[in-house]
Amino acid sequence: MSAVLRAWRPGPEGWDRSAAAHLLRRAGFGATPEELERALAEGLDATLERLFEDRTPPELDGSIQPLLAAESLELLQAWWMARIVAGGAPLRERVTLVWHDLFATSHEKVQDVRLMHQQNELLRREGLGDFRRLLQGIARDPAMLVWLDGRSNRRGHPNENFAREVLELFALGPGHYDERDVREAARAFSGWGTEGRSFVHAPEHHDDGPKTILGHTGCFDGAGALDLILAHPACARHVARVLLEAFVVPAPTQVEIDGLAGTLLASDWDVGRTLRVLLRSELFFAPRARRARIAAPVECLAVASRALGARVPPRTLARRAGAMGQALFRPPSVKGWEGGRAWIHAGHWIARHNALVELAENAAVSCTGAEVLRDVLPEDPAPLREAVERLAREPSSEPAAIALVLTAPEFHLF
Amino acid sequence: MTLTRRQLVVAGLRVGLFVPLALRARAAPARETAERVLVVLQLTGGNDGLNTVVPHRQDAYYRLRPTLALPRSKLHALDDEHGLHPALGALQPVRDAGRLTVVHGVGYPEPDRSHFRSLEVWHGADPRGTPHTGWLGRMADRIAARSGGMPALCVDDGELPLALVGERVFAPALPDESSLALATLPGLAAGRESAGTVDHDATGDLAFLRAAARASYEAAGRLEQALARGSSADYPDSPLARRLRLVARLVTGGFDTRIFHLSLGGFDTHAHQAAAHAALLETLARALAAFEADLAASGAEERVLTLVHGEFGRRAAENGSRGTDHGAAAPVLLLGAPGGGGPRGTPPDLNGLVDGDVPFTTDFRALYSAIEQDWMGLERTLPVAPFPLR
Amino acid sequence: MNRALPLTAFAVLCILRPGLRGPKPEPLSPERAVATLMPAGCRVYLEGPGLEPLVRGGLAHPFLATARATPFARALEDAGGSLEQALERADAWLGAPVLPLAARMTQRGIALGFDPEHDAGLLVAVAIDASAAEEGLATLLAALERQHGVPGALRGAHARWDEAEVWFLGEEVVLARRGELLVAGKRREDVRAVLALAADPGARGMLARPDLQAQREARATDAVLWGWLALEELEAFGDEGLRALRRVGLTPAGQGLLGAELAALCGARALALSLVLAGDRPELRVRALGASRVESLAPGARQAEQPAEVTGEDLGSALLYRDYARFLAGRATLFPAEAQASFAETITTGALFFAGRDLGNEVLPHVSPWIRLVAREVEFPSERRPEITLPAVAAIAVLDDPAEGEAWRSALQTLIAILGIEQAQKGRAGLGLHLSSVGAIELTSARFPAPRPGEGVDLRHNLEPAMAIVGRHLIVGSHVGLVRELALELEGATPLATPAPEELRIAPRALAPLLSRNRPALVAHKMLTEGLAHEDALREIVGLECLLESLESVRIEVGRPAPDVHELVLAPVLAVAPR
Repeated sequence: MSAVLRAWRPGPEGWDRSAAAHLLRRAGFGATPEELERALAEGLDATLERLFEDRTPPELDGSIQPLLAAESLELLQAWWMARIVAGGAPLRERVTLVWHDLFATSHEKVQDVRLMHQQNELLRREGLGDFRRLLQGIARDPAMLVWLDGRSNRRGHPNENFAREVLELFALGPGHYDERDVREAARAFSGWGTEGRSFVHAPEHHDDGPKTILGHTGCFDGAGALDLILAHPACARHVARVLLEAFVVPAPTQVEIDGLAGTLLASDWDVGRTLRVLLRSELFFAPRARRARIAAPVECLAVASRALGARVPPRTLARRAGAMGQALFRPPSVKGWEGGRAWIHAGHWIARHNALVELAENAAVSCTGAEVLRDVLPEDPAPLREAVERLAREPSSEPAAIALVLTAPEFHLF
Repeated sequence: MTLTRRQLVVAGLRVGLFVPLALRARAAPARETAERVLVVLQLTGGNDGLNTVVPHRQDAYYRLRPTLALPRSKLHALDDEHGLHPALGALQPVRDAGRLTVVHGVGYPEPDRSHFRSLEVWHGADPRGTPHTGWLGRMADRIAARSGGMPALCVDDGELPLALVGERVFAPALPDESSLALATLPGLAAGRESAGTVDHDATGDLAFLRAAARASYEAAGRLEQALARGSSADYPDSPLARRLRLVARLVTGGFDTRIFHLSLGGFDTHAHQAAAHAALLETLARALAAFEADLAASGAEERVLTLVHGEFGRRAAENGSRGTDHGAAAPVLLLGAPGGGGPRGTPPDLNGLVDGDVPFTTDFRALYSAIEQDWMGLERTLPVAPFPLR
Repeated sequence: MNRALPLTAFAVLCILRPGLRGPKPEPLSPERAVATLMPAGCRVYLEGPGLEPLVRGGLAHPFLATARATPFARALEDAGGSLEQALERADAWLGAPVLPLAARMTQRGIALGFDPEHDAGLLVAVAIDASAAEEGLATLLAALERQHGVPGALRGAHARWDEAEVWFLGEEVVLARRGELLVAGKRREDVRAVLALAADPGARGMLARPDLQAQREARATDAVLWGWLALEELEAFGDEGLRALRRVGLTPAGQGLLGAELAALCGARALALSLVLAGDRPELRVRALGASRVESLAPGARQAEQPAEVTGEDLGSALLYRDYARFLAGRATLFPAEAQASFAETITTGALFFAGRDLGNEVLPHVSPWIRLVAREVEFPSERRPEITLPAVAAIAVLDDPAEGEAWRSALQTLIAILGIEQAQKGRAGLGLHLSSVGAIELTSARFPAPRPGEGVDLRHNLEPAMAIVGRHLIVGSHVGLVRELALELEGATPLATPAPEELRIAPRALAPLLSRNRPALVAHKMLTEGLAHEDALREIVGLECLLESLESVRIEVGRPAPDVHELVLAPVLAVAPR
C-alpha cells in the first residue's frame, strides 16, 4: 500500500474531540452530542465501523413510497434530507451525495420524480460497492437516459451527450480521449433506451458495426464500451480524485491520487474497502486535511441540525439548502455543483446565515452555545469563545450564542 | 493607473473579496461607467412591434391590419413616418427629456418562432448554439471579478431567467423588499463584532469566508438603509411599477447592483388583441414614466439605462381572430441611452416582408455589444459590432 | 400556575392589612342588561344570554350528551379521563360543586370583552344577588389560597374603590365585586370603567353603539351566546391575514371569487354573531353590518334559473351565484386600469377556445350565474386507480340554449389538444381525447394514458376531465365517472325557476374513509413536512379521521333575510358513534 495511505495510529492523545468530529463530519453528516461522546469513548476503529452501519428507521425509509404518486420533487428532497439528518447510515448517505454530484442529473430536465428516486436508490445501493457495477448501472439508469439523451441515441442518429460526459466527467477526464472516442462510444451506447420507467435494450436501434474506442477495435456494445473505459488507467485515478476531493482535500496531489487509485484497484474497485483505508489513513487526519473544505449547504445544515438537536422539518431544511445554492436533485448542470468558494456569495451567505439562525432558534432546549462551540468547533478559536461566553452571560441569549457559533466563518470550513 | 499592492489590498477588503486578488488586479474602470446601471425589462410573449411603433405612412400597414390598424390621428408622433401607440402617452415626458430611444427592426437571422427557443436566443446571445449562460450573467461574472458585491438581481419571482445565469455569479431573486432581509437575534450582531475584531491572521479559505460574510452583512445593511430611506415617488399600483420602484430605491440608495432584470407578461396576443395590447402598453408606459420621474427627482437618471425587449415581434398581417401570431423582428425601447433619444436604425419596409415577417435590420447583439462596451465599460465579447448609441 | 411568586408577595403584603369593608352599593336594576356594564371601547364582545340552562343542566344537557357520544369526544375521554372525573376534580379543587356555584354567580348575565389595542380582556358577571356573589367569590379566593399555599392572604379585599372591593391577583388580574356585580380584567382602568358604568343607572356601555343595540335587540330569543366583532376597528390591530381578508371583501375581485354575499361579510363594518342550540343541534348565525356589495353581481341581480338538484350522495356540494358575464362586462368600471391587462388577457385566451367569440359578451351571458358544485368519490378502473385518490369535483350550470353546449364541447377539446401539444413538446404523453355515451348523452373526456403495469399510478390520474350536456344542463367535471353519474341523475330534470339561497354542504363523516385509505401517504407527508416522528404523525392523522367521523354534516348558507342584512348560517350536525 502506498505510503500516503499508511494507517493512522493516533494513540490516546491523538484521538481527541477534533479528530473524532473531523471523521464524523467528513464521512457522515456530523454528530449529535451523544454520538460524539460515544466516538471519543470507543475510539477510531469502532467509530469507523459505526459509520458503515445501515440503520435508517424503516418508517423513514419507506415514507417516500406512498408519496411518489404525488409527483412532488419537494417531498423527495425532504425524504433524502430526512435520511441524512436521521443519521442511520452516515457513510452510505454521504457517498450517495458524492455520486449524485458526480453523475449529476437534474429533475429540471428529467421531470419525473419516480425516476429521480430510482436513480437515488441506485446510487445508495451500489455506492459503497463495486464502482464498475455503479457505472454500468448509471449508464442504464432511466433518469440518466433521459437527462443525457441516451434514449434518443439510435443507429444512424447518434446522440453523443452521454458518451461525451462519461468520458469527460464521469470516468476519465479531459486529455485521455479524443473526439473520435466520443463518436464511437456513442455508437456503442446506441439502442439503450427507456420504455415507460424501465431500461430497455432495443437491438433494432443498436449500431453493431465495428468501432475503435480508446485504441481498441471491435463490435462493442454499451457494456463493452464501459469496460474499455474502466480498463483505462485514467479511470481509477479519476475515481480516486473524486473520492479524495470529496473526503479529504480540495486539491489532492498526484502522489495521493495514484496511491488511492492503487488501493481502489487492489480492492477490485470496492469503494467501501477503499474508503475504509482512506478514512483511517494518516493523510485523512493530517493537518492539511482538517478544516480544508468549504461546507456545502446540505452538509452545513445537516451538521448544524444534528449538533443542535434542532426541530426543523426536513422539507424546510431541503428548501433552505436550495436557497443556499444546493437544491437536491437539481444540480445546475451535468458538471454538478461547482463547490468550494462558489458556494459563497452575498445572496447565498445571507440565505446561509438566515437558515442557521432559524436552526439556532429551534435548537433543543438543553443545548447551549458553549456546548455547540465545543462540539462543532473543537479547535476552539479564542475570540469566538470569548464572544460566546460574553453573550451567554446575558439573559435568554442562548439562541444568539448558538447562532453566533454557526454563523462564524470558521464553522463553514469542514 | 497604477495601484500599489497596499492600495489593492485595501480596496479588496472594502468591496468584498469574492475572488482571488489576482483576478481583480486589472485596472479599475472609470468611475463613471462603474456606477452605471442596466435595467432589462422583458415583454414576455412577444410584443406586437407594428402596433407599438406604427409605420403610419405605409399603406401596407392598413392593408395587413384591417381591424387592428391604429388610426394616424390617435398616435403620438415619433417622426414623420412613425407614431407610438395611443396607450404610450405616459411616456411623453420621457420623450421630451430626450431619454426615449426607439431602435427599429431588432432581431436575428433565421428567426425562431418558439417562445422558448427565441427567449433562449435573446438570453444567451448565441443564436446557433444551446447556451448555458446568459449575456447578463456573463457580464455579472466580470463585474464580480472586478469589484465583488452583488452585481445582478432578478427583480421577479419564478425561475431565474437564462439571461442572468453566469458561470460564477448567481443572481439572487428579489421579487419584493423583504426577500434579502437578514434574520437576527438580540446580541448576535454585537457578538459578531466582538468575535471579529481580533485579527486572526486568517489566510486562504478562512480569509475568503470572513471577507464574504462581512461583505454580505454590509450588503444586507445597505439594502436595509436603501429601503429605509423610503420613497415619496408616485407610482401606479401595478406589480411592474412596484418592482421598478424597488429598483429605483436600490439605485438611489447606493446599492451596488449594476444589472436588474424584470418582466411583464401577457404579450402573446393571438386573438382580440386590441384591448389587451392597449392595456399592457398603458401599464408599461405608466410604470416606466414613474420610474424615470423617480430617477430624475433623485438625480440618478444619468446612471440608468433601461432596455425594453420581447422575444420576437408578431406577424405583419393580423390573423382571423383579430389577433397576431408569432413573428420576427420588433422595435426595442431604450430609456436613458446617451445620444438624445428619438428613432434609430432602419425602419421596417412592409413591402419587403420575408415569409410574412418584418425582417430584422439591427442584430440584437449589436445593442448588447454597445451596452456591454459603451455603457457598462466592459470588454466586448459578442461577435457583432456595437450599435452606435450616440 | 407560574405566577405564584408575585401573587405570594402580594398576599403576604395583604395579610399585614386588615380587610377593607365599606358601605353596600345600591343593587343593579333587574332591567339592567349586562351589555350596559361593558365599556363601549371593547372591539370584541361576547355575552351568554342562554348559558344558564347549559350550566344548570350540566352533563345532562342534550347537546353535551350528543357531543360526548361522538367518536372524537370518546377518544378524548378514553385518553384523558371522563368529563365526570374532570368535574369531580374541579369540585375538589374549588371545595364546592362548580356548576351550581357558577350558575348562581352568572345568573343575571355574563359577558366577555376584549380589546386587541391593549391586549386586555375583561369579564363581567352579574350574580343572582349580592350574597351569592360574595359567597361565590369567597369560595373561589379560598381555593386560590390553597392552590398557592398562602392561607388567609385573599380573605380581605386589597383595596376599596368607591363601593367595590378589589383584589389584585399578581400582575395579570384585577378582581372586583360591587354588590352582585363581579368584574375581572387585566387593566385597572378597564375594571374601574365597569364599576363606573354600574354606579350610573343611566349608563349605556356597549349599547351606546347604535348598530350593536339594534342587532342585540333583534337577536334570536334562544341564543346561547351572542357576540359582536367591530371588524373595521379591529383591522388596525389584526394580522396580515385579517387585512388581506378585508381587502378581498372590499374589492370587486374578491367579490368575484367569494361571491357578493360572502365578500360582504369579510368587508363588513361589524359582525353580530349568535349561537343557537336547538336540542343537540348548534347553529351559528353571523350577520354583517355596513357591508357594501356590488349589486349587479349579487344573487338574483340577473334573472336566471338554478341547476336542478342532484340525487346522489355527495361528499360536499354547493350552490353558488357567480355572474362572471357581468363581472367581465363591467370590468371597466369595477376595476382600476392596472387590472385591465389581465382581464384583456383572459378574454383573449377565452377567444382562442370559443371560436373567436368574446367571453364576456358572447359566451358567458348564455350560462346561468347559478352554479351547482358537487364533490364525490369516483370509481377508478383498476389500471388507472391512483395510489393517492382524491374526490372528483364537477360544476353544473344552466344554458339558455342547449346549442351553446357545442361551443363548450369544442372549447374543452381545444384545451386538451393544446395541453397535449405542450406535453408532446416535452417528450411526455399528454391527455388523450375520449368520446363515450351514457344512453343518449354524449360524454367528452380526456385522460392520461394508463401507466405500464407495475409502474405506479400517479396523482394526475385523478384528473380525467369531462363534460356533458343534458337538456339545458352543462356539466363540467374533473373526472368522467362523476360527470357520467350526474348526467344520469339530471336526465329529464328541469332547471329550477325559484331560487334557493347560496349554500355549501359538506359531509365530513363521508370524508373519513377517504382519509384512512390515503393514511400512509398522509402520515409520510406529515413526517417529511412537519418533522414528526412516525408514531406522532400517525396519531395526528387518526385523530383527524376521528374528528371527521364526529361530524355528520356541515351546512353553510349565505343570504339576505332583510334588504340591508347579510347573514351567514353555519349549522353542523354531530355524528354519534355506535357504542
